[in-house]
Amino acid sequence: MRLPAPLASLVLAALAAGCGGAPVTPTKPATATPAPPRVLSGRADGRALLTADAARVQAAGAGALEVVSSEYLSEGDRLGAFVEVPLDACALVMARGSPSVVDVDLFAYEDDGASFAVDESTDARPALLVCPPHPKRLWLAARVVSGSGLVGLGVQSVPTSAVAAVEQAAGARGRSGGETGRLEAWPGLEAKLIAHRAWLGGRWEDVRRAAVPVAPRAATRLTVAVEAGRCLDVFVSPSDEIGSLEVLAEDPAGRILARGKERGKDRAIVLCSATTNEVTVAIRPRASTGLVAVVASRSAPGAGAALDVSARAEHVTETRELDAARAALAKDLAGKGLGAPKTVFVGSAKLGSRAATSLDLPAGCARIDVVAGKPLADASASLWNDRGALLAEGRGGAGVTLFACGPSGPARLDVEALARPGPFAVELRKDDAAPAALVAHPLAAARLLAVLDAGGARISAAAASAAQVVSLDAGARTSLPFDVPARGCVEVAAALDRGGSGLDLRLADASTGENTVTRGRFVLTDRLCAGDAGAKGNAELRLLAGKADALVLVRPLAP
Amino acid sequence: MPALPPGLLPQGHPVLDTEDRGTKSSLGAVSLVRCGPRRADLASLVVSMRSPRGAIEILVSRSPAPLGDLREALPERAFGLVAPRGNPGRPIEPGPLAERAVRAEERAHAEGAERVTRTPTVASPEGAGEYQLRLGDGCHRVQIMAAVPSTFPHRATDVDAEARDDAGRTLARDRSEAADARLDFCLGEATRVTVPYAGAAGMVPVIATDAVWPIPRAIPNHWGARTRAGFAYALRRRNAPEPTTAPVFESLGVAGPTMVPITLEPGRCYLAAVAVARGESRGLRLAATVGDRYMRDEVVDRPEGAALAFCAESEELARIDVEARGSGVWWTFALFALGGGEP
Repeated sequence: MRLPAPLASLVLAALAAGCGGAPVTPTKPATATPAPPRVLSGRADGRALLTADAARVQAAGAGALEVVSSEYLSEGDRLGAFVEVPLDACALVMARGSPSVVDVDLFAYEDDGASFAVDESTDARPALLVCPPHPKRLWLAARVVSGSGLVGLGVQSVPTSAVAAVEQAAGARGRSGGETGRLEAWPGLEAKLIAHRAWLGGRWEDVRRAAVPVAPRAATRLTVAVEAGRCLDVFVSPSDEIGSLEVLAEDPAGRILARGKERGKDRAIVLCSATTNEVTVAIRPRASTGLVAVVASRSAPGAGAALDVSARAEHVTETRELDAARAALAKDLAGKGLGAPKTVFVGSAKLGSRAATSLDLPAGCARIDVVAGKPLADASASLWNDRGALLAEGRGGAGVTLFACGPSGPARLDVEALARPGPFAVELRKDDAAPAALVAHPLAAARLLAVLDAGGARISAAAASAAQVVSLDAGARTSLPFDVPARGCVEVAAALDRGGSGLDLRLADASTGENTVTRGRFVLTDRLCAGDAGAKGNAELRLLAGKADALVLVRPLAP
Repeated sequence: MPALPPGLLPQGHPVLDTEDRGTKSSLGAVSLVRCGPRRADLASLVVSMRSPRGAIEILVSRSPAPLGDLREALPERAFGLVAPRGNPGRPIEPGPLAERAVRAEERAHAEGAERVTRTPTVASPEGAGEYQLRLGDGCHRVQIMAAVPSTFPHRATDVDAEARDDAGRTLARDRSEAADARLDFCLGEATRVTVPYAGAAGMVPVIATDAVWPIPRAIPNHWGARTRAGFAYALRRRNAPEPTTAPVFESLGVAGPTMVPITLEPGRCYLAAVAVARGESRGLRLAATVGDRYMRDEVVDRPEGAALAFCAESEELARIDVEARGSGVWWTFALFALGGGEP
C-alpha cells in the first residue's frame, strides 16, 4: 500500500520519535491541577457487623435490628445515642466490632447519669438485655477497650415471652434468671449465682465479672462502687484447688466494712449505702493458689429493705431509720454475752462540731455502739475518761463501736459527722466477760477488740480472753512460738497500750524460714497458715519507738 | 483587677483569669509598662511561672518616659531572627565502630553496669541481621552498632532493632533516627532473646554490646520472672532508690481501676511499684494519695511496670490507685519502706 506524502511524513516522524532517535521534552498534561479530593457525606455503617447475631436473636423471638450508631473507633473511643424503650417492653442492645477490635464494653445510662446496666466482659461481643422496670429512655454507649476498627451498636425489641430465649441466643447479661452463657469456663457458676440471688431476694444486675488470681501471700483486690440508694452483692466462687477463702470489703481508708459470709465454698458480701462509695474487695485464700470468679451485682434502687434478713447486708452508710438500725443491732448482738442495752444518748451529729455526752462506765468491759440513722454518713466517736485521757476512738460509715475496759467511772463521748449530718443513738452494753488483761490495759483492749469486731463480727470481750500482756520496747525483741494445725491458720493480733508507737511483727514459719513482716502504729494483725503437715510458727514483736505493754492474741482461725 | 485573696493560687483561681489577662514572657522576661492614669493597673500583679522551678527577680521603675525595648537591657537573651529550617542534609557519620563500642561500654560502667559483653557479627548485604542472645536475669542495655563503610557513596547508618523473648513478646524496640540502636529491658530469669536489626550500610561489621545491671535483691521473686522484671524496669525507668528490704505490703489485681488502701508509718518514705504478671498490657497507671498530696506514674509505651516514691509526714493512711488497661492483665503491687524511721 502506498501512503499519501503528508501522511507518510507524519508516520516517519512518529517512528523516529518512538525509536528515541531525538530527545523529546515531556509535555505537561493540559490540566496541571488534579481534581481536589471530595469529602463524601456518607457515614460509617456497622450494620453488617450486627446482622448475623441480630438474625440469630430474631430467630429466638426478637424484633428487627435498629442500628443505633456506627463509628470507626480506636482504643478508649466511644459512641452512643439515646434510645427510647417502651416502658412495658424489653430491648436487646448489642455492640459488635470488626475483627481488629479486641474488646468492647457496653453501657446503658439513665438520664441522671446513673448506670443502668453494664457489660464489661473481655471480648468484642457485649450484649445487654433491658427489661422493665426501666427508664423511658437510656443513653447507650459502647467503648473500645482494646484494638481499633469499626464498631456497630444496635438494638432490637424483645417480647417478654421471648426474653429467656433471646438472652440465651445473645449471651446477654442475665435478667430472666436463666443461664446467661457467660463464663462458660466456670462450671456451675451461673447456677450458684441464680440460687444465691434467689436466696437474697430482689432483682440484681451484673456490674462486674472477672476471673482473678489469688494467692495466700497477698490479697487480690478488685474495686467496685456501691451506688447511692442501692445494695451491692459480691459473690466469690473459688476454683476446686482453693480450700478456704477470706473475703473482705474495705473502704478507701482501709477500714474493713464487711467480711464474706460463707455459702459452702463460696463467699458473699452484701453492702448497702445511702451515698455512692467505692469499695475494694480483698480476696485471699488461706493456703493454696488458684483462681476465683468474682461477680459483683447491684440491686434496684431502695432494695435494701427487701433483702432477706439472713443476707446480713452491711451498711456502708446507713440506709435505715434510726429505730430500724437499733433494732437490727439488738438482734445481731443477742446471745453474744452482753447485758441489756442502756440508751445513753439520742441526738443529732453535725458536720464540724462534736456532740458530747456524759456516761458512767461500768467496771469490767462494756460495748458502746454509736448507732447512726439515715442520713448520717461517716461518723467518728472518741471516749475520754474524766481526766481527759483517751480510752477508745473509732470511725465508721454507718456508726461506730467502741470498747471500754477498766474500772468504773465517769466518761465523755464525742460524736461528729464527717460526711453528712443525721441522728444517732448511743447504746451501752455491759460485757459479761471482763478478762483481767484487758481490764488492766484499757487502751490496748479497746484497740484489740475494735480489730476483732471489724467487718460486723459483733464480738464481746470474751473473744479476746486469751490475750496475753507483752512488754515491748525499742531495744528488745519478743518471741511468741505457736503451733499451726494442719490445713489451718493462726491469726496473731497485737495492740499497744499507752506509751509507745510503731509495732513490728515478723511472723515466721519455723520449719521453712518463710516469714512476713507487718507494721502498724498501734495495732496490727497477721496470720500464718499451714499445709497438710501443720507448722511451728513464731511471732516476733518489737516496738519502733518508746516503751509500752501490748495485748497479743494468738488464735486459730476457723477453717 | 480584684483584691487578691490571702493564700492566692493563681493557676485555676476562680476570680482571676490568668490565661486571658496575662502577658506572656519572651526572652525569659516580661515587661509591663503603664503611663499616666493607667499606672493604677499595676497596683496588683499575679506572676505565674510555667516552669517547674526557677528564681525570678521583680524590678519596678518609675521614669518620665517609657524605658525602651527589653532587648536593649538584656542583649544576651536576644536570639535574633529565626532562620528557616531548611534541609539538614545527610545524617552525621557516627564515627569508627570500635570507638563507639568503647564509649558505650564506658557509659554503661559509669552508670553502674555490672558487666558489659560484646558480640561481633557481619550484617547481610541488605544491612540487616539477627542476634540470638542467651541473657541472664537483670536489666539489660543492648546496643547494636554498625560500621560505616570507608568507600563512597554508601548508605546512611541508622540501625533499628527490637528484642523479643522466646514467646515472641516484644521486650524493647528502637525505631529512632539515631545511628545505633539501643534496647533497654529487664529479665526476671535467664532468657533466650532474639534481636533482629536493620539499617546498617550494607555488609559491614556489627557489634552488639550488652550491659547488665543486677535486679535489686529486695525485689520479690515469688510472683514470677515477668513480675520481677517489671518491678526492676519500673524502678530503673524512674531512677528510683533501690529498696533494701522486702515489701511491707503486696497486693494482686486485674485490669480496670483498683483502689488499694495502705497503712503508713508517719515520717517514713516509701517506694510503690506495680508490675504486670500476665496478659497484654496497653497502659498502666499508678497513683498515690497521701493526705493532700497526689503522685502519679503512667506508662503507655511497653507498660510492664510503674513506680513512684512518697513520704508520709503525719499520715497513717494512703490510697493507692492502680489502673491497668489491656487484655487479660494481672498485676502485682508492692510497697517498699525506704530509709527514715528504721530503728
